[in-house]
Amino acid sequence: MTFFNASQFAPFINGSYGISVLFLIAVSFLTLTRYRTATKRLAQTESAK
Amino acid sequence: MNENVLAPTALPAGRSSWLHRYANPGRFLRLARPCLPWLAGFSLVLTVTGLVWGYYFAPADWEQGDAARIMYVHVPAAWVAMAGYAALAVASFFSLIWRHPLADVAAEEIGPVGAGFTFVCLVSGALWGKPMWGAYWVWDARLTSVLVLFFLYLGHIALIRAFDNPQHGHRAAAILALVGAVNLPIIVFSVQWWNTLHQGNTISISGGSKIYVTMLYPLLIASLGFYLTFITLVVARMSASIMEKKTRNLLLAAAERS
Repeated sequence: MTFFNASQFAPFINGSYGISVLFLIAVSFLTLTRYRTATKRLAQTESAK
Repeated sequence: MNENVLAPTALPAGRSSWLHRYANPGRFLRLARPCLPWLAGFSLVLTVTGLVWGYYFAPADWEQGDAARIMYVHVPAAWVAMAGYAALAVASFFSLIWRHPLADVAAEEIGPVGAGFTFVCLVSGALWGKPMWGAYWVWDARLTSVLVLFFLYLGHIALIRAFDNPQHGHRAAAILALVGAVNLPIIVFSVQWWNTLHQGNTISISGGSKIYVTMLYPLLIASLGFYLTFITLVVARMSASIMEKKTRNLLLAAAERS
């Protein structure tokens, strides 16, 4: 019995689609969060000056 | 004529300012912020179009079946991983030679994004390798050189943050990035120089690609989408980094005043 048989799963999972799409979404989300936080903090600091 | 050789006149304005004008972090931020939504939009549209086209509408391979669809992710990720490292080497060169602060910011932010795409390339290749080759991993020249690329990215990320003085970190990491650039031609030509299990080059810029157009078009669109996604992520991270530094400086200045 093989550990992983690609044909048992939908192409979304057996290929790299699932992992890659999740990766791209996660990285984009983290980057967006960092960017928005940086923008907000800079605006707050400048307005408090 | 300037007689003082120890204090020569500056380079002619046209030649010196081109590089320095756009290397200013403040100017970069002013240019990048309005461009970011457009970059993000185009990268999203192209990536989704390429992946959906490749996943649903492109034909399956006559030999590999649906497993060949992995190339719509694996190949763009590999190209972006290599292009990202080339960009890292260029930024490192600018950092070492001209000490541009923006080049340091670029090098610091390209590393994690490039490592991420290299990781996608390695994982997607491993998932394809199991059903096709019978193994997730083989010590093939192409696979090994891409693994070395991944380690170079990780080394760069670690080294740039390893010093108390950030300047030392940037300098050491820049040297590593430039030395590591020798790995790029090894990756590209590994399938020609050695007998590899990994297939040879399928796409050729000069013509003669060994892939049918119904597969080539979604692959090229997905690749363009991945490139734009990489650029978007790097520009967003660079902008965030510049804003974080600016905020820190403002807070420090306020603390010194009070």
